[in-house]
Amino acid sequence: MISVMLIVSGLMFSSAEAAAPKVAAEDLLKTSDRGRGATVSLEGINWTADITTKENETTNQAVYQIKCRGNDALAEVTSPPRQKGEVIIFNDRVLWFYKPGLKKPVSISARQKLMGQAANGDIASTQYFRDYDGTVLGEEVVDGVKTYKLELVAKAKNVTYDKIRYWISKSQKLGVKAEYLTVSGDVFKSATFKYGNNIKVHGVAYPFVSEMVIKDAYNTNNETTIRYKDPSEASHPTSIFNVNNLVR
Amino acid sequence: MSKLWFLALRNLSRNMRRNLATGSAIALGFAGILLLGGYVNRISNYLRVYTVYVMHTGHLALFAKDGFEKFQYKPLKYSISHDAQVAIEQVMHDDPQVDYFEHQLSGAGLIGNGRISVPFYAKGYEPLVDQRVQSEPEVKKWIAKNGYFAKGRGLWNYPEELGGLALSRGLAFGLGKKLVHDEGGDANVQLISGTWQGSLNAIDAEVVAYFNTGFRETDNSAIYINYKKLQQLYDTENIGRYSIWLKDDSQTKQVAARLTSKLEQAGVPVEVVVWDEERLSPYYTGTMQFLHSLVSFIGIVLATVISFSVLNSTTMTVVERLQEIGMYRSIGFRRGQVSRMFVNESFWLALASLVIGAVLGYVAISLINAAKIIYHPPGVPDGLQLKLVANTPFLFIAGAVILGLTLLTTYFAVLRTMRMRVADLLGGTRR
Repeated sequence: MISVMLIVSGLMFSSAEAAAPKVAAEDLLKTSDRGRGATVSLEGINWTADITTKENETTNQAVYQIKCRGNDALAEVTSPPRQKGEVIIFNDRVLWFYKPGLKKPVSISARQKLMGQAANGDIASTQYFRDYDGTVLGEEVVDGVKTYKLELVAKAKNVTYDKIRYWISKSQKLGVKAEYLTVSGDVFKSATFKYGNNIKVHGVAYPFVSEMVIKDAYNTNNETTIRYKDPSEASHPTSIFNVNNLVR
Repeated sequence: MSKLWFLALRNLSRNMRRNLATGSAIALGFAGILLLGGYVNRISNYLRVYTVYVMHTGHLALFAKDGFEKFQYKPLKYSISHDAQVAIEQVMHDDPQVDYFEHQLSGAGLIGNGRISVPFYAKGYEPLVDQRVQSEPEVKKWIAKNGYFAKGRGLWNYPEELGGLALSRGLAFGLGKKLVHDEGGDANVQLISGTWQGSLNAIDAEVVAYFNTGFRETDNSAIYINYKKLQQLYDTENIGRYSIWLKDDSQTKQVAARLTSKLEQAGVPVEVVVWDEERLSPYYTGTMQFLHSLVSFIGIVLATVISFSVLNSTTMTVVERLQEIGMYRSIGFRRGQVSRMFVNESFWLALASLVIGAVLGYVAISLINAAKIIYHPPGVPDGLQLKLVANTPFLFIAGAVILGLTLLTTYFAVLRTMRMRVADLLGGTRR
């Protein structure tokens, strides 16, 4: 009798498992990361990030030239002129800041504010698949787009955010909206994404992010817009991402 | 009249053992109060000088309007602009009470050594004012320490271009900076932070000294640096506040009101805070409030002990001398005269005891100071010598209070007896 009950209950649990959403969070994150610059090409890619911040009635702007290769990235300021030459190097999850004249590069945090609402970790390639454990919570419609709603929890302490709610479109598998949460679960900023760019890698075109608008959850007048321009395939030597080569 | 004083003095020898016991209570109580007064005098002056000079609080702190509360959250809006600085400095130069002042700027960020970065909180001041502050006579008298740097020399010893800074000891340990600039090691560090306009910025700096903050929570993050380097880091010409030192520190409130009013008229709204306000110096005010409560409590206990001792002794003396009092009354002494004789006896006893107590107190103070006992109160780096500094005005005030208390207690002790009939007094029975 007991063995019959065990078999029946085993069947019940296995059928409940089968009823859960079949879509895997990992696959969604891998594909959506590609639309935000991650692992599109093993040799590397380039793009320009034009950042405009509106905070407390003041507007600031800076332009970064981004070079990525695998888990490494280099973001160099090209404008405004007074900041020209400032560099942020991303070695995996470790970030370095350097500006001309500085005796040594400075290790910085991905969470640190870069400009306005944008954290350092927001400007280079997004690696949510690498940095977060994802769970599909369900499905929702965001601005008329059918999406999967995911909850992402940081795998390590040195990633940009502790928790993210992320909406990925069902059709294109691209992130369309994100809410960034504190450890206690409060939303402190949110972002929306547009994909007006295309990048060709080995002749295959992929949609690429063209705009990210980040808003302060406590004061929605404070917002930062990152416009991504001219994404292209490139071949970068690994030496340009070596922080020791900066001070020479 | 003088005969009463003489009689009172002579009567003291009649009950020598009891008077010695009462006198000892008064003398030891007074010596104890003197020791306590010496401790409070030392600590209050140490904290006052430490707060006003060593911590660069000044006698007055001048902020932009609402800057005291809001500067940390919105530095750009609540700092003192370059134009406001010109107007403020003109008003301060014209004020006869302002001795000197200092530009200050504080802020946070990350400090790196080329390998790791850790958070810092920096206090930016003027190195030359720091040199002046450390050579103040009051600092030499009360702090009794040659500078507050645990290692290295003051920032004023180095050229501005070097970017000298002093690290708290815990921060130096965290960054692995064992050597300061003068020792020839790698003392180079980088400070990085967001500018007030919102972009990222970094500057080079050189570790020239270490210091102890005395508090665990700040010892891992505190930095002293020239305020101009912080202006460079935050990309601003503004400052957070002025610290102002006065020629006469009893004029703080008047000067604060005068500066506020003159600058208001000049169209520069400011907020001037006096150094001993709780919001500016919470550690000083908190410690002083605690000390005052402690001293009041101990003072009340000592006063009660002395009063009961005198009351007990006088009551017994009066009971033993009922027939003598009756005899005085029967030969024509009035009640007031007899009462006064007892009060006079207590006066002589208290006076002699106070003198002995004062001598005992001063000897004890000298012995304690000579023992050079070091203790570690919170917030005092490297500990503090248990040093007592006798306070002469306090000596006379405390002595007068004890004397008054003794005389009053004696008066109440003899009051009931003086109302007795002469016949009862001569019978030697108290009803």
